[in-house]
Amino acid sequence: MNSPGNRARYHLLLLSAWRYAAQHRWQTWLSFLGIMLGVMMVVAVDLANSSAQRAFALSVAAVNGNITHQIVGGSSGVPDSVFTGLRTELGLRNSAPSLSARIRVGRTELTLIGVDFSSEATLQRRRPGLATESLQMSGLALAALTRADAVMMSEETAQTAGLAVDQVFTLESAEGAQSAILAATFASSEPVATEGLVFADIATAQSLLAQRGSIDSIDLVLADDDIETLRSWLPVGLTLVEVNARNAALEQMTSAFGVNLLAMSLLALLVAGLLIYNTVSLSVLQRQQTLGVMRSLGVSRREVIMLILLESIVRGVLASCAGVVMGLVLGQGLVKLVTRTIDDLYFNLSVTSFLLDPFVLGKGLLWGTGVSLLAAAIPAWQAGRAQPVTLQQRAVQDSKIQKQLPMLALCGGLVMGAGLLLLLPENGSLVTGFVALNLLIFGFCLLIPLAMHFSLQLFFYGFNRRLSQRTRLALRNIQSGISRTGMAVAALTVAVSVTVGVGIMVGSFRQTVILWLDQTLSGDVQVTRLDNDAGAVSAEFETFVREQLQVGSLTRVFNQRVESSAGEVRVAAYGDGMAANLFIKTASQEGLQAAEAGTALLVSEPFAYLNNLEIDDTVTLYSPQGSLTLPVAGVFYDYTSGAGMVAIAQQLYVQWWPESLPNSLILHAAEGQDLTALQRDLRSYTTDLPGNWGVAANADIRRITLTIFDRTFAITHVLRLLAIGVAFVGVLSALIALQLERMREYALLRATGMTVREVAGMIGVQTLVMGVLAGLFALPLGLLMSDVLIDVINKRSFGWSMLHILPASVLIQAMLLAIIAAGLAGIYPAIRVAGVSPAQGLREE
Amino acid sequence: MFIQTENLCRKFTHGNGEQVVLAGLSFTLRRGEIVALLGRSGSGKSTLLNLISGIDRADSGKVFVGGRELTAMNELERTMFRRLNIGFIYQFFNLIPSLTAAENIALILELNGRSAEGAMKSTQQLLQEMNLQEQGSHFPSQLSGGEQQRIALARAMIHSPKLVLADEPTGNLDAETGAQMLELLISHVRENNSTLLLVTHSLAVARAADRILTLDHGVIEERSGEFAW
Repeated sequence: MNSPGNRARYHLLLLSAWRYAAQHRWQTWLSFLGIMLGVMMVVAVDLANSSAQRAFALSVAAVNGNITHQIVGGSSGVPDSVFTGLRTELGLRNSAPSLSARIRVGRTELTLIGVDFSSEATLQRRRPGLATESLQMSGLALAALTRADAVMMSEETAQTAGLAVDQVFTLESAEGAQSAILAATFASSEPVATEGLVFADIATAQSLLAQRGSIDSIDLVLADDDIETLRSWLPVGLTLVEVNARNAALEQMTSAFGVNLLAMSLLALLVAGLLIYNTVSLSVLQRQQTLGVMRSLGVSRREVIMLILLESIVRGVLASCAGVVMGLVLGQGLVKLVTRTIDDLYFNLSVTSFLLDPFVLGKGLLWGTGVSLLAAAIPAWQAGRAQPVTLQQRAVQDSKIQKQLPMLALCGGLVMGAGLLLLLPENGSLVTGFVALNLLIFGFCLLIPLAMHFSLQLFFYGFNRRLSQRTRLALRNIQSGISRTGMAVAALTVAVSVTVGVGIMVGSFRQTVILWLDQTLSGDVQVTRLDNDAGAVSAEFETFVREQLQVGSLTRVFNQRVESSAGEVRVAAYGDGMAANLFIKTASQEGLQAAEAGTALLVSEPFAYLNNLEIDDTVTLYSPQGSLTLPVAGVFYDYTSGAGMVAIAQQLYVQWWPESLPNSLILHAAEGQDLTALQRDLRSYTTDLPGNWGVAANADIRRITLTIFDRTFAITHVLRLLAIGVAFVGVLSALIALQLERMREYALLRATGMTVREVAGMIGVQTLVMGVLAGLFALPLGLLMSDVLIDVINKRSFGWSMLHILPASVLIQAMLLAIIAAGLAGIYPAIRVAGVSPAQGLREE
Repeated sequence: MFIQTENLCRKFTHGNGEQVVLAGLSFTLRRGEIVALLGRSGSGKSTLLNLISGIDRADSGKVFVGGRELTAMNELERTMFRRLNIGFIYQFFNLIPSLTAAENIALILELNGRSAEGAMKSTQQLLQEMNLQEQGSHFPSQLSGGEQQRIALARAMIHSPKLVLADEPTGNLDAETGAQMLELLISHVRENNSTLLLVTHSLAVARAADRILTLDHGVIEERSGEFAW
């Protein structure tokens, strides 16, 4: 296409294509909008995801630096003395104590990191943005060390928090408010990485966090030879963990969340792709006669194909560029939702800024252009392949497609079969799950034209005599133009089924969470120590509750993070047994009895799924008393977080963690007891206790949990709305194009004697029937999609399973959406018919 | 012989049935000849035209144009042959709606490798000769039927093709405009020494040709003198 001859040859062909686009502004703009919205979604979600992933990596790196191992002690932390022993007895100089916690300065959330500057120097930890070995840093460290309650932070963080050097400010932690002074600020070489971090000497941090005598962990850079020596030296209850493995598990969870979001956006792009295909194929079909004339004049197949592809590339590039720009704007909003969800579910992110990744922008551009090109490839190939004479005869094309319907449906069945086969392996990957989902959707689309044909045949069979001539004509038009109507209905079906599938998935999840809450929230009021995992309900407190408040009964709940053979896990023990507090998924009666008797344990569903645990497999828990190995007796539902949970009998818990106090008490009110007064008395009592306490009625806990659930799924709703938006625009464009194509036919009907109202009514019937068919087809596809999302995608992402709940509202919404989209699409052609005289309509192409 | 067909067969399938349109048709045309092909609707006139131009393929038989066998050519070769050697005129004009009249004419020159400027210059010249300068910048929808067909004629003649195929060129025009159009077509064909195969079902139009052929039930016959139709 580059030689001067070629350039000249294409000049008028391109001009013709350009004029066609300009003359059909509606279709051009709508297809442009379809691609743009599709790309916008992918770019926005991708940017939000990559931003969140980088924020995650930076947050981990900012806290941990380049260390290889950590000595951890679960919720109770690591005693200071272990660090001293490590250095004096083992002579491990590549070590430093670590302590970090979330704090608040005014309205700004920050992370306080306790650092032992002298140990850091020998550990040679490299944190992004912080050059510990630099003179400036040492000087600042010295300045910070010499003053009581002194902290330092990057210049950017100080600015965000509204602090100046030497300013005394109030620092709020879980232990309460304390006074601190900003001793120094430093210039960060990577401001994003040091964003929100406050550094203090370890002793100062211990004092500010009221954690004297213990630290979170001892961070190490270990050579292979030192590992075994250290393991054998470690006191009971402490564990040496590999940092990368620990982070990888977290990263896996967050990336699974990211994959889910991306999948949602790709689903939107799939819908956009189908619609782009529809638009392009319609534009080719509309120009079939013109293309036929061109071919008979001597335009070659290759030139026809190139013309259509070139058009598509230009449209794809322009729309994708606009989509990328829009995606940048939307991405900034989405990143807040994504980081908030990761923060809620998995990990406290110190970095929450929007981090721009140019690769993502390029990818979005390629995606949009690629889908646009791919969508154009089939109609272009079809137009190029057809004989010039058949291109001029639409009836030939339509009858050909009619004949191909059974074959098309057979292909659809085979594609769906392949999708189902991919879903068969229980432990397949997430990516395979998505491929299968897309195959199912695509296969279903291929079944739609035949299903439409039979549905209409059935309709004719049942109601033929009662139909007016106009209605019959409208329905026959759908049937005879199945190459176009079939595609438009397929696109609308997919779009609507996305809302059904995702709607059912979210609805089922929410309903399951409600059931889970009902099952696990026993009693009336809970009082919990919020900030100390190690437990803090003293015997005096219990006595107060029993004697002063005179509640009906009391359940003690123990709950803390411990190291296990499968990584960190939350261990829970309930005073009144497991069955009353857990929503059991699988466990035999004997298994439950064994767990209650302390000879087995129950594991949460995500923990079992992520660690491939089955009944009778064993799990080892590390306690200060040694290692406790128990078989798995059952699995229970748990939606608290992705980290996993294990439940053991309370007598066993007390035996292996004898120092522990309960974390919370579940109060069963006496008959007629005023719950508000009970909560007020508890709050009044806990105000004088150290630490942060939560007193809540179960009804409130349920409400708050659902609020968090809804907040977590806010992004899903946003994406679902966007997917509907993309679909709506696309379907509108497809149906409008379809109706505009028939303008000449409508003009003919007008010329024959039909009134504007009658023709408009016929258009209305046609689009409504297409809408109803799309709505009907969307229901089984949506149900299938929800099954895959619930049983495959969510399970493979998070290890969560849920009940299948079918809310009637979702199905009604879907039908309405399809009918409204189709109905709206009929308005413009009806207006056009009204505005164009029959003579003019017949003259126009 | 400029055009030669040998045992040309073409059938179409409709639902479960089959319709044989041309069954072993053979005929010849000399260079520079103007031949009218008469036939009733559905007799296969347009099918024959499509086979001679290579825009459709015969089920069997051979077509030679200017000594080259069209039926032995592949799709691309047929397209290139058509581009260079054939001009087409249709009953319903078939102008490209998104190009102006002048651009419709220039397109064929550009397809044959002429520069955009060169193509437009030749087009303007032809438009002037045909008294259509004013219509050059109009789109097809802005032209009358007669004007559209004259533009279609200009498009068919602009590259001086050896063969002009006209499918009912006056069928969609009133008698006066049709007669003018026919005169114009014949004068351009003669001037260019092109061969013209004119498909029509009008005896009056056919009489303007050098020879008249009739096509009935797939059989072609030469007619001379007076005959009823």
